[in-house]
Amino acid sequence: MRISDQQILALAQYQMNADYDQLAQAQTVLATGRQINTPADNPVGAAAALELQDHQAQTNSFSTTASDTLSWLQTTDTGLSSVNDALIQARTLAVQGGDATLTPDQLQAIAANVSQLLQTAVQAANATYDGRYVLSGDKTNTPPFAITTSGGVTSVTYQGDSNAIQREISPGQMMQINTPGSTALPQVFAAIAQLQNDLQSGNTAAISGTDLQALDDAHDGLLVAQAGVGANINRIQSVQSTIQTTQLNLSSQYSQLVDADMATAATNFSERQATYQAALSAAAKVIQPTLLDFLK
Amino acid sequence: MPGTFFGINTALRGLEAQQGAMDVTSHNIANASTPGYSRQSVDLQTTAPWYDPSMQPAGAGQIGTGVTISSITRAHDDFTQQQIVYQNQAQQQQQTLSDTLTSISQIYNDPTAQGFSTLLSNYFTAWQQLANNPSDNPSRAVVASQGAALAQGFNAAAGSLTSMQQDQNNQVGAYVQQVNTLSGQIAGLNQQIVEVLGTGQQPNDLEDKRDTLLTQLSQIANVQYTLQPNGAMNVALVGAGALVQGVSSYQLATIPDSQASSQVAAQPGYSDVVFQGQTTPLQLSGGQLGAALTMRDQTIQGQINSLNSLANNVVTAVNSIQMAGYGSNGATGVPFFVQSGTTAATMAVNPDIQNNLANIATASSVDPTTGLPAPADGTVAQQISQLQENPPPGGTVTLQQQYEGIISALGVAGQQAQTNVQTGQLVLQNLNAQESSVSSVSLNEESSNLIQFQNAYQAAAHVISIFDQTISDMIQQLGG
Repeated sequence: MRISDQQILALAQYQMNADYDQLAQAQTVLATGRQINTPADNPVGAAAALELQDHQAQTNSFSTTASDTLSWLQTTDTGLSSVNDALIQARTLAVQGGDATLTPDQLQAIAANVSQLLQTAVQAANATYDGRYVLSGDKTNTPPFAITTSGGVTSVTYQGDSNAIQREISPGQMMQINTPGSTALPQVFAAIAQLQNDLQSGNTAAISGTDLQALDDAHDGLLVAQAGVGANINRIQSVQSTIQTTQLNLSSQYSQLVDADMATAATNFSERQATYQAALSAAAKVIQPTLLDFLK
Repeated sequence: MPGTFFGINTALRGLEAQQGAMDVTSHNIANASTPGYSRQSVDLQTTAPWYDPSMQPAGAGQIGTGVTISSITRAHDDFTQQQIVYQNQAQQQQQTLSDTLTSISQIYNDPTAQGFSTLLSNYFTAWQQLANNPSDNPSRAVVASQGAALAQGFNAAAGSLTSMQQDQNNQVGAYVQQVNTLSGQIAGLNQQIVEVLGTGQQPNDLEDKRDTLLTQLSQIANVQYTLQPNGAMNVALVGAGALVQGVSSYQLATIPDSQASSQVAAQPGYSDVVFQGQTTPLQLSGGQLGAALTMRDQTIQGQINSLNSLANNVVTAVNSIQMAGYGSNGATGVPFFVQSGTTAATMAVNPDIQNNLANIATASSVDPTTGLPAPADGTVAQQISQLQENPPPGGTVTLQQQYEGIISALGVAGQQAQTNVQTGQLVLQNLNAQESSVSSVSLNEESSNLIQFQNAYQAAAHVISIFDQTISDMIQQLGG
């Protein structure tokens, strides 16, 4: 085949450009540390990487939700525990006060104690998390319980509602995070208030009979409610642990897909650099002397 | 016998022929690096022999009378040139497509942590956090500002795509001008070449010039050419009509777009290409002109359509859930995004939302006595954040997945175009090498030819001096 001078130079130029282009691509990978810099580098991988990115964002959001929910539940748990403590003490006082041999003054003294307990218990039930009342059901800006006294009779009214607060704690999974104050607690406060009223009116028969029974029943109900909160706490903690594992997995999958293996990238770059330099030196040699140099 | 000075004439013809050959060789060497130059070679032929006219020829017979240059031909492969013309325009089309797709993917800047998809996921996770605490004002502010960032992201992307479209449109006019100039020049050269061929000579350099113009034209538009017997080159615009016929050229012009395409309605701000004096828009593809039109009307427009569809889905889905819910002030029926803004360019957060964050609907019901929802009711906010997991009503994929579809389609097309560009470069390089092998000057060849002609010239000159000596001897001897 006939070779013209232009042909040789054109070929040399083409090779140099092609090698330089490859070198530039290897350099991009090395400089950014990523295999996928544009969607054209790996179309399917790019879409998968976006999917992973989105999942990561969602998982991080669920993580925030989980710790917030845990704190909410712990506040609820503390509140219910304090109420339980007050209830136990009230029961002890009820046993004391059920003695028919006590004087009215002594009964009044015990009544005063019980009144104190009631206030402490109601205050504990009105616990807040981040400015919101945890036991009011839906109405988190209203204190759940209020003590009213009318005509010498003390009672506790529930001002919240019984609605559930549902939260999504993992994709597609909802959990009711609150215990409405309408569960178990009105019974507790009614029993304690009744005890107080009966002590004040000196009705020792009721105290040792129906009041004691009411306190015991209320206690059972409260324990059930507490157990429910405890179970929820366990559930959230297990969700948190799953979230942590998921975050690690997503992170490592994303990295495998998108990040360049630096050792491979550096080796690639050196290889292409060597190829490019070889092309350059070949091009230099290809500008041969012509016949004219030898003719005298 | 032929006359006394017969031999000198023969040698003289030889001298002239060798000198002509050396002139052509020197022309080749001078143009060794001229782009588009086809090497020329001399055709040497013996001149008509002399013979003694008589009824009964006697003597040695026909005697040769020397050499002459019968023609100067250029080395040119028409078949390869046809292929190069085709490949040039195809390569330009693919190159423009590849560059455009790269620019488009830079607009989205994905997959990175600062890409468009981050705007989408940030918006929906903000709703999820708001669902956890619907009466918290800072959380509402985050939702409003993420919504504004998302809308602005759509606006910016749409703006960039539209401005890319306008850039392509602006180039259409310039390319049409170039085509007109080149076709006019080719027609002019046709006239000159036909005239020269009419006198029996070879217009080699003019034909080279015409071929260079044709190559330039093939970069800009998808043309085909045919050589006529009289030497003229007819050039036709593929799928449209004749650009050059003989000595006349047909000019192109631009008119405002009045035809709807498969992608979009007519856009009078853009130009269509027509033959001057006509109104039917030409469907062009290939070359820089065809590529600009294809990018403007198909590729970029297709992207704009996909982006608009995504924007429409986001606005419609969020608004329909929003308007059925209640804000913390009990307001209902307040859309989050401006309802008329369903394209990427017009998407915007409702000013009523930005001015009063309480209008952001989070609850699904209100207390009939107060008209306000329960402070912890975040059901509607929850539903909006669940658009991350569930397709919007009437859809089959989630909004994120719709966006991922846009990106992966872009990636596939971009990869394809890059491969085509590389393959095309290789093909073009091979074709050019083939053409160069036939047409380009090889200095070795020319210099060895030069030696050959130089030697022949010297020999012819020597012959003349020997004849001169012989004749002067004869004159001396006979004259006394």
